[in-house]
Amino acid sequence: MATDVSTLHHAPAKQRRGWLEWITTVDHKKIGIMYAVTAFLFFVIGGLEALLIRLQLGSSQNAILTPEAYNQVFTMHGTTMVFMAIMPVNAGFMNYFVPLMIGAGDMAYPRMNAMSYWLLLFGGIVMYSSFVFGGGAPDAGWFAYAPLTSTTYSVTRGMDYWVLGLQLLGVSSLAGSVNIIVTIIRLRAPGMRFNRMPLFVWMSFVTSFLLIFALPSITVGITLLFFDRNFGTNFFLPAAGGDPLLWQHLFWFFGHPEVYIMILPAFGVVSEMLPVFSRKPIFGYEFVAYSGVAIGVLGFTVWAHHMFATNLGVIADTFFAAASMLISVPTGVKIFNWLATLWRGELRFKTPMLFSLGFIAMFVIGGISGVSLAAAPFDLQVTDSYFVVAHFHYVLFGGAVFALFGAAYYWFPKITGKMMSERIGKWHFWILLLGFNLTFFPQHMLGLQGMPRRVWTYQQNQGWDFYNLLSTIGSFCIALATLVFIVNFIISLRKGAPAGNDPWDAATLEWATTSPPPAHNFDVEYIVHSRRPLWDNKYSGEGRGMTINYDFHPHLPPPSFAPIIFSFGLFVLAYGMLNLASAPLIGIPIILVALAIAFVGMNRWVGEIAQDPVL
Amino acid sequence: MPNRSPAKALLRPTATLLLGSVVLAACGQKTPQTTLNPASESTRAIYNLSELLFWLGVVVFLIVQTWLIVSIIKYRQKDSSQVPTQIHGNTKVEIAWTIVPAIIAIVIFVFTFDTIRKIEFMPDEAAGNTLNVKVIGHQWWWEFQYPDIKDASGKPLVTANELWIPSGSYIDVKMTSVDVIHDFWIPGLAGKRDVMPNRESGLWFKADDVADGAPGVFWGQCAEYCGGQHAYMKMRVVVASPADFQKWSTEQSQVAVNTTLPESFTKNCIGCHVVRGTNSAGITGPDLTHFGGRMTIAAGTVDNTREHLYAWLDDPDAVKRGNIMTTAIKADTLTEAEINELVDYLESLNPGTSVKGQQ
Repeated sequence: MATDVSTLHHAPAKQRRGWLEWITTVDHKKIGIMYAVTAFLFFVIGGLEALLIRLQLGSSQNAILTPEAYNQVFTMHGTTMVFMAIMPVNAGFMNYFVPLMIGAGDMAYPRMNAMSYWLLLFGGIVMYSSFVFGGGAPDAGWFAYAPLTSTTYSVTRGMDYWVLGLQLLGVSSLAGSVNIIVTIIRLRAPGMRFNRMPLFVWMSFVTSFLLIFALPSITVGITLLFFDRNFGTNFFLPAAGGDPLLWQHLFWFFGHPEVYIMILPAFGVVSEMLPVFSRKPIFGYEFVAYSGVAIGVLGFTVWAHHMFATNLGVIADTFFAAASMLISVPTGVKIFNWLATLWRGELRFKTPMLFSLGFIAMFVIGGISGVSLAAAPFDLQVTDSYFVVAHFHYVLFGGAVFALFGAAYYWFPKITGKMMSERIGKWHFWILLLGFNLTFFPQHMLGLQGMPRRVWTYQQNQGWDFYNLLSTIGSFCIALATLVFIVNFIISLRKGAPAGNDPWDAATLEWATTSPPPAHNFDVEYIVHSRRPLWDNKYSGEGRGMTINYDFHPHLPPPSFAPIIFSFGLFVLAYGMLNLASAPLIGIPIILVALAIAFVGMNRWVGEIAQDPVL
Repeated sequence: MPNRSPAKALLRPTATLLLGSVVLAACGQKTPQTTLNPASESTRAIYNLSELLFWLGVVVFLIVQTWLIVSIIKYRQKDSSQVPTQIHGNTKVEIAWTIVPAIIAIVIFVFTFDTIRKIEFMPDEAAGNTLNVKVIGHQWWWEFQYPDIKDASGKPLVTANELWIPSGSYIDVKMTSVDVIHDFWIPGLAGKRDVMPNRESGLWFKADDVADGAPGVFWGQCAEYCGGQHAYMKMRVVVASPADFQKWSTEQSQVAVNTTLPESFTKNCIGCHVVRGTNSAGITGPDLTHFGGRMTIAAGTVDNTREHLYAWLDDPDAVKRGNIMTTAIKADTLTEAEINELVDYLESLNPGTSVKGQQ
């Protein structure tokens, strides 16, 4: 096959060896791997927190956790899963595959890319160090409603760690989004027009814009919160005329688009996997792509549906109910297009396909409960109850996590050069599907039976014991499934069958290079002529999907210490800020040291750019 | 297990478990806080809307899952060398399935708007048949004031954690909080409303008629996470017939039935609690004037019995960890004799009309 160009070789840039290779890398693929592995570790930590929650709620009036511990655990579960698990797994896949799918050699800003990763890791460490140094983890929920977050009601330093951890994670996401957008706009292979881009690239593009528009709102919110907690301001403190409702608007103006930030990349990978395993093109490419854009735009007009219970008034209730229901239209379009993609296909039930089909089946349940939550009066009954917990887990677990596990099976061969075990993979899928439904379906009933969210316990006479027990059993099935995945991952990494370049008989450019790809991704330049360049070359005739430009000289920036040094400076800065108000004599020197470290990093960075024009 | 697919291996235990759960659920535990047993005009309107949402949801669910399962069975790969017809889309079909969800959304919206209208605007007939209630959220208990009903000293009647209302009247609830955001939720009677520290929110409801001498009890709970003991910020709402309510409110507006404070009460309690007719006038904690007739202790944490009250006074932190009373009363603050004296006194504060011990 002429697309196999592994025999051609260009001299790679100077590489460091061992762990230094990872510390200094600016290769989007290594960074993508670090993102995904780190995010998976946080997923496991968040999952263990979930098990603690389920253990405590497994029966009424349990005392496995104290209320204080429970409140910390559920706060960290939400925060971890949203900011440190799902978002960075998405970022990891985007990092690895957006450049490959558009035929690029790297991200637009390789060093900034490394910085984004390090800030994720450091942000997570800041947040979790609150258990050790903060006198307790954050305990006001991932939504952190004022004035519960004030020093009067949240007496540990936990919320300060939460704010500073989120700031680092926010910078990480913002830089990552800019990077993805510029990469997509600037580095597409010749002929890779926007309407030829793989749908995962489309969704990454939309997601990145959502992040850029949504993040400032929470950044402002947490900055004001930090001032309230440390410097005596009263933005959210009602006793001094501040407004706690302001926090809710700032939070949800970010928080609702955040839902789409988590789910759109999942829509993207499913839109890649379903066609490949149906051996057909996606049905209605334009509808799928543009409905993603529509969801992104509409996503900014619905935030107050999280606030129906705050007495917004009839006009606001009506508007936000209508806008929220409108989102069901582009979402419904996507589901129908996915189903039509299967129709008259030749379906191959490999593990990624099982997860994609599971995704559709589960996500639609979350979609249905979502539309009903948009009906404001019904929301007044079930909001802040376990019905909502069930709803968003069907969206974010049944939706995003299923799709991302599918993506892991789909792309593992490309990343490692080895196949994952299909047999173990199928066990993983079926145990997860069972455990997931057992955990979350009963929570719909609990919500309808009046069980509020975020309660550390409940009484026996409430009649909630049975469904809670089912849910707890289910959560351990999920844990077992995750364990099966880890086993599969380790075994396959060691003994997996060789993958070859294109194990799934796929359509997009990442499968046109070796597995794993060389540092510079492609030895030649592809000139793209269709939406499915690889497929069309295989099935429509050589040169129909893409042609090759052999006169191609990839350029990669050398490894760099600058990103990690700079990020480390910001990491130290967070601890300086933590002490600034409470112990300025400690805080100010730490801040000065932190700024010096960051300056050293920046200085190096600028110097490297001067020698090497890649940013 | 080479010949046994995971799907088949898991199918039977799952089916058994699900069937078992249905059977068990059918046996039925009592769920006193359910949303599925509406007993007011507004919750019935919401319930009707949710039935529509449920059945539309079932239809959409069945369409999608059937389509999915039929595809999975019908288009399972038979021949790996076969490349199916490459269908790229069909604009007409896609426009159709853009319009269909839009129509469903519009239908839902119309009924939603109608329900919003019904539950938000108090009908004209409410005029002259309205009882005003003020709800004040505290970490972690409820204060209820009746601006229309005056106590012996001419101030609005105040109770805690147990709200009595007359059936058939429009209850106009205004609420605010003294600390963090709480949420007032009695699933049988009204949807949620946030109780916020810097503003007044409100809702109204009208409970279905009950017979004289047969008051209905509804369970409610704070629904907005409000810190440590969010789980134990509960309340009971007693819907009484107008005559019963009249009797209750007349009794409640009197001073305490026993105004001779025991010494241990004077020593330990009067800084935080009100007992009308005595010099106990603290406002940090719940009004205890007619405590003996209430159903629960510590905002629904435990039923109001002598044993529970003893345990509560012995060590409030063991009953409801972290509650504000623990700042004054520790495990060793009160002697056994003092506790017994307090239990006797508090349980004597029962003017008669009470549903204590029911449910």
